[in-house]
Amino acid sequence: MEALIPKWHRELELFSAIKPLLILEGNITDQYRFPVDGSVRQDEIISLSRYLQAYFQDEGYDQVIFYSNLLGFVSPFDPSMLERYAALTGSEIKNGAIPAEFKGNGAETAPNVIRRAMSQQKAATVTVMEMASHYITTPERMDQQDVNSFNILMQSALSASWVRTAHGKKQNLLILLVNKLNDLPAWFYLNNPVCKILQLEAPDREERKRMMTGTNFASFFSGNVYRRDMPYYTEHEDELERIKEKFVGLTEGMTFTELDEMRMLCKREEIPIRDLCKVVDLYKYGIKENPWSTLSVKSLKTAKADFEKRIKGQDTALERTLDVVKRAVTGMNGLNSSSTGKPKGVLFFAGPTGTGKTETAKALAEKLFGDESTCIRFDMSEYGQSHSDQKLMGAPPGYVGYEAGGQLTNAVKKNPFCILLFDEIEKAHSTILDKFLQILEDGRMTDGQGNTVYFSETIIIFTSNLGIYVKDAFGNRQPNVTMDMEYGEVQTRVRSAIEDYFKLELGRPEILNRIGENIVVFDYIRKEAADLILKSQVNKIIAKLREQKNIEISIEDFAYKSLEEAATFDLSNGGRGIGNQVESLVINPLSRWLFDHEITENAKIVIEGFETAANPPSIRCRIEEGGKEA
Amino acid sequence: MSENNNNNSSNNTGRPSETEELLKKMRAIASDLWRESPQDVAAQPKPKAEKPARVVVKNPEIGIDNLWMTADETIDWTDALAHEYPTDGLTNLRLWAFYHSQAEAVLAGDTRAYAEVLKKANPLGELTAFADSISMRAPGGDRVEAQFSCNKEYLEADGKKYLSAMGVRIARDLLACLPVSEVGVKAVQDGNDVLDVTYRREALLHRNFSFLDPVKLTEECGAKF
Repeated sequence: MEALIPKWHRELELFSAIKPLLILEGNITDQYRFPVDGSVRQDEIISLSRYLQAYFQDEGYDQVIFYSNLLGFVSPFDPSMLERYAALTGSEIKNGAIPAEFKGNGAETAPNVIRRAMSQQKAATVTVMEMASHYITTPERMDQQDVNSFNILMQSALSASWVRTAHGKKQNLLILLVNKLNDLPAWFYLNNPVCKILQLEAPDREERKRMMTGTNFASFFSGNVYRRDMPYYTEHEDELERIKEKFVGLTEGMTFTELDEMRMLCKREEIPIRDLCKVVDLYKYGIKENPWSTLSVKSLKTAKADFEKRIKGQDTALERTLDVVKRAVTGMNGLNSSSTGKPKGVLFFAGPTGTGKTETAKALAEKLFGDESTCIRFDMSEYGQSHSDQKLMGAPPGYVGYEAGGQLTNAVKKNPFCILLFDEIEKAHSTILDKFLQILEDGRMTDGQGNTVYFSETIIIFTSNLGIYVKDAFGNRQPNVTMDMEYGEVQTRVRSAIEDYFKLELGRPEILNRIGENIVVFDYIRKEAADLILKSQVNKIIAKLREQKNIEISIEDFAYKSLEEAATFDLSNGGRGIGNQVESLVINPLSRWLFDHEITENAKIVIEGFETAANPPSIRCRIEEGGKEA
Repeated sequence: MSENNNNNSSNNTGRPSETEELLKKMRAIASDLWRESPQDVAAQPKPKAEKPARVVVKNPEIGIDNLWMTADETIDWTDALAHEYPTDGLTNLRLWAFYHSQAEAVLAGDTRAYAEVLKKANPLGELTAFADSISMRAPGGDRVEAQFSCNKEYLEADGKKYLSAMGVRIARDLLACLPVSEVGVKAVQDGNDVLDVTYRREALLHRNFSFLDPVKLTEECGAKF
């Protein structure tokens, strides 16, 4: 099979031949696919240390020795190498290792042993310093001994010797494996002419694809499953290719270790070849049945009618919201299959206050996941500071609150199948928007504790009041849309203002691009809808009194008319404003009246009139005969 | 997927039809020969030291009271196909090399390879102490069968338990040894069948055998005592 050489391996080939100091940064605890046949079979997945050992041995180096500050110098793959290394550096082996502290002043400290190894010309030597991020607490607080240790390492590299071998001349090499480059003092690698930094990334698409070929693919399945299923797929190769492609897409950003663990899980659970992709959900969320795949199309058909019971006067907005869900369910945009790993849907709810944006999100959560509490709300006005991202994603190690994790990442870890509602997104700090960009693009996020959280099963909803007011030339706040405008005009003006905000004011058009055409503008609550809202709220109060207190309330037509006029007179605060009016004109006066007349239960009351102009508002009622018991 | 489609499917590699036809005939002949001697692979007694890897049980002394609780480790045939060296770091190198050499044929459901593996791995060797004789055969790529002659003492002491303990243990060992979906177990006594049952892999998957009644399980698998 043709060799697929990853970028870092090519760099390793190039720079190990000319630079004596290499720093491998990033995904160092992962496993790697060995790309060429040699002392390790091509495409075998092995640890990084085994990889380096095999690579340099095949390149003709005489010895590859590993150092860690806990074990000292070891040679786990060939103990004879350690004996030679000890002889060359004048060190002593104890219990299978050459013990050596990283810092200190003696000749037996690790940097001094390495200096001797780097300067000798008898055997081409590679010394790999594993977990080099942990040799010092922090580069900012190094004591003189730490500085000396790194200084010796730097000098060792600067004066590294060349050695004649059967494969030509080789320079002794020092390799440091670090999680992050800034775990090392900057002076050690910056402007250091003999140093080269190589980035170790998670396997790319081609690498993951390679893992799904030949006998590697077979090793994903138990023998029984493979023997049983493979004859079918030998005849239907196109089907098998589709399964593999989907799996490769789903595992975007995953490490080789994670892929290998999924391989073991797949085998252990005896997952058939056709269900290979289910192992991704099983691995990520611990479930076999994805709630998205069990959504009933029938229940979604009635969704609009169900929504309209809760949200009044927002026909277009509801239609557009449900379109996104339907796309996810039908797989028209590939969301159903999770093939991209991106969230299932992204919605941007805009419009005047009190028009049902939050309520729509809650209704959607109930419809999709059967529980309104799966709509997780974040009030973005609480995330207005530059460090607020730590509240969402978790503080990094060493910072207060590290153990608690992030509010967002914890919530999604707990329930990956949810609706994330970010209220009033314009109030969040711009650093938070960067995090959202990553979530929308990759569908994953690593929290402060290093755990990966997946957003691929969520719907993300942003709400905003952007576009309702704009600033005039003098910086004064002016209404951009008004109640007397048609919905079409409201929609056009709000959308345009949102675009201006992201493109011109914030200077972040890329965020707008991720939201795409999913801006849903909610209309003003107009008179007709307001009447419906009022009716529904009053009916709710009547029903509650009947159920809980056995108090029957009826309202005379003329009285209801006066209530309607008063409660829907000012609709600038939308449905929430009507709710406030109901509280002020109905609930408060009615409870006062019931209290004054000592009615606590079992009564029939007729409301004859609402004194809406009184201060405080009051009501006129009468008790129906036979209603109140003695 | 239909099981019938998969049996004897080792020749499904797109070879020219003539070769395929020839192979088919040869396989049929071999298969017939095989049928004439179903007890071709006999379990051989072997010292315990040869089979070191075992599931840890409360009582390490193997007897009729706990026979079904332990079983051989599963041979990872797809790993054996993919790797020349043991991936678990536990399996004997020589044994792994044998698995590696047989993996392709075994995963193609080749019954001759099954026979080779049964001979070499001797999965029922430990059970010879509990029966007068045990033999195994692979009639197809999806099924292995075992037959044992009952030990009179055990049978008379508690027949149901003895037969079930043997049945479950044989099924577990053979399912661990070969990638088949089912194991047929037959027990005979004085020329009469006293047990004839088929254990399906899914019936034994993810069960905690330390807390399982082998009689009940064997009855669930369709055995009538």
